[in-house]
Amino acid sequence: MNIEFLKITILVLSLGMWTLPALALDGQEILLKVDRNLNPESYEMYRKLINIEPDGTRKEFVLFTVKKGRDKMIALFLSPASEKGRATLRLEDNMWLYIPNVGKPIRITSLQSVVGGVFNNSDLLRLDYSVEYDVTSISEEGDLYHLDLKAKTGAVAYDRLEMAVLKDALIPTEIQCFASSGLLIKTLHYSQVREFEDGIVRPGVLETDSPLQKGYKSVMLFSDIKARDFPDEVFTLNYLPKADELR
Amino acid sequence: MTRFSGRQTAALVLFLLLASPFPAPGEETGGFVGWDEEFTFDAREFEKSPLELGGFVQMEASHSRFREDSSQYLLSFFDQDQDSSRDLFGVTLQPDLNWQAGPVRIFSMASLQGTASEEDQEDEYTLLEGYASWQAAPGVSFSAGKTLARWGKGYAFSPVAFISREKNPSDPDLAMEGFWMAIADLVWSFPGSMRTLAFTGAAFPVDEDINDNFGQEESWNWAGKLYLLWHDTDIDFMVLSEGARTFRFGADFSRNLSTNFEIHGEWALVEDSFKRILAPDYSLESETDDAQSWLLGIRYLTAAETTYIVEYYRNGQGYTEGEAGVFYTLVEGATETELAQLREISGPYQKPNFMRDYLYLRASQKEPFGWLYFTPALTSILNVNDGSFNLIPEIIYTGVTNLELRFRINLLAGDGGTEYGEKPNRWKTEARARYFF
Repeated sequence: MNIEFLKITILVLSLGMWTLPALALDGQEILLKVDRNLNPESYEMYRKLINIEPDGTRKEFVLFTVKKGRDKMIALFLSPASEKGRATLRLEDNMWLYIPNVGKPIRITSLQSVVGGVFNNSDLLRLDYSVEYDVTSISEEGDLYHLDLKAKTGAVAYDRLEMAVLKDALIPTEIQCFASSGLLIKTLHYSQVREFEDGIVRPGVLETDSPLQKGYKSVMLFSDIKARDFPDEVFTLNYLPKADELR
Repeated sequence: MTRFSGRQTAALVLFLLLASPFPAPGEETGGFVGWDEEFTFDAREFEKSPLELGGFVQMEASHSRFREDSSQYLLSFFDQDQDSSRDLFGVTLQPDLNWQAGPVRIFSMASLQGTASEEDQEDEYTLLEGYASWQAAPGVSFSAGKTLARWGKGYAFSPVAFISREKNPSDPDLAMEGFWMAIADLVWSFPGSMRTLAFTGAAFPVDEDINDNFGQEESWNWAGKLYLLWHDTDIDFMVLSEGARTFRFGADFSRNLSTNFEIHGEWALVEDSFKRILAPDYSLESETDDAQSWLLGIRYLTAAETTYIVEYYRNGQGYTEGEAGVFYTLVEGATETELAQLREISGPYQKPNFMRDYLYLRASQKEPFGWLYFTPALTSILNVNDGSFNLIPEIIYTGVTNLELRFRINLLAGDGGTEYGEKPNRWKTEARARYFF
């Protein structure tokens, strides 16, 4: 009896040890697919940002964005005229802002916001989720996966994410962003899935709100997403004032 | 010459602002925008044009209250009939034009400024930048023309900005005028801890017709900057050959220590730095010595979205408290003839931050108390050597698309014989409306 019990216990423990890493691997694979479904690894795209205030007033910005590989990104402001020519560069966790006619590119931090509203710099210059986060757990509910993500380093703007992903399309629908204290910083809502160029099917709208900024909402609209490769030298401070030449 | 009072001009500015055709906040929305609104975006509206015109038009009104017993006031106005205050009205147009065809680009930016006070009216045209550039390869570019070289990491001060004009620390974001030069830019990117390596070389002449305010000696000047992004730290090494100015070299760095905390610094060594020192008998003595200048600063963002910028600046070429004291004493006891002589020879004593040690502090708060689109800020520059300082409360409003309104007061505090106590103003209010197009 004792030997039988021991055998069963060993079997259960072995299965458990085998299953846990497999589950984690699945979560990481899902996250990688989510990243690729949202955009190619290297691409260009246009975005409109709309900040909506509690009284309904709004401010709009249009950005041309290019990204290469895992960690290189530029966002160039095209509109309004007061912001035109401003450009932000991200290389891994480093971020800079260039303001034309004023001075040299200055370092900015991920928690700042160059556009105001609910989106901060890390939202504007977002790298692939799998670059910044590890999947710590995964669960299923109806047609959704629920992924718990933990930041790989302290340099990431949000310490933890809870991501709801459509099972069939592997596209996120909602992401809750938490600080290391457990405080909910903001919630991102993806919607209006449609087809872009190069057969990319993904949400065309990203909306966000924050319990820290009650009544405020920010919306990001996506357009003309297409795969494109760039030389590495484009993603440097020297090139940043010339970012418009990429269009 | 048309003369009109400063109060009239201030009233005119206020009227223009109130009667402006710009929509008030909220007008654009047509009411509340619901969460279920169908948003639309067509990027074709933003297709690039080879020729693009941008810029801003600005109206500015200021009121200065003078400190009539200060040395700077005496030097400026001893031969004029100047009231104890002055109203000034200004209009500035700063257009920029950009033309691009493939790898070739031509860019120019100018400033056309008209100012008027009860006593005077002036117009000024300045070509700030105007150059042609060629992007020969992604990492290789050349340019020639009037260019602003943006060197250094400091916000208010930049001792390593060897080939640009000195910025105004009370308003460091103002556009500056470049110098005529040819520039070559080479950039390499790598994987690993050294992400970027870049070299910038600049060559420019100085004579009585070109770049004449860069230095005295007619000469060709060479400058170089080596930039590294190494272990997530920006590092620059820069050098300027001996020519119109003496040989100098330096370095700077900048790094984010966390998601909301940045640190930066600069260090420069100027060889054979030449300094003219006023002697008690109104004569000029000269001193030549190597001078080291440096700067250390931080930028910190709190959870409440207050941004702090703090910089400590050591000006190795600056005057000591004793040397500055001689200047103030001379002005105080000078006859009109001696004041005229002093005005000619005391230029270095009248520059901003002409002494040794300064502490710069700026705190800005985004939309406090739910005031949408308002950003109040408080800036102060403290002369560490004599304890005098200025204090600049300001508020910026950006609630209307492409319109920026700024109001600030510059308060100067210091006893007689201190830098800010000897400036011409006791205080100055400024209102500025800037419309971008």
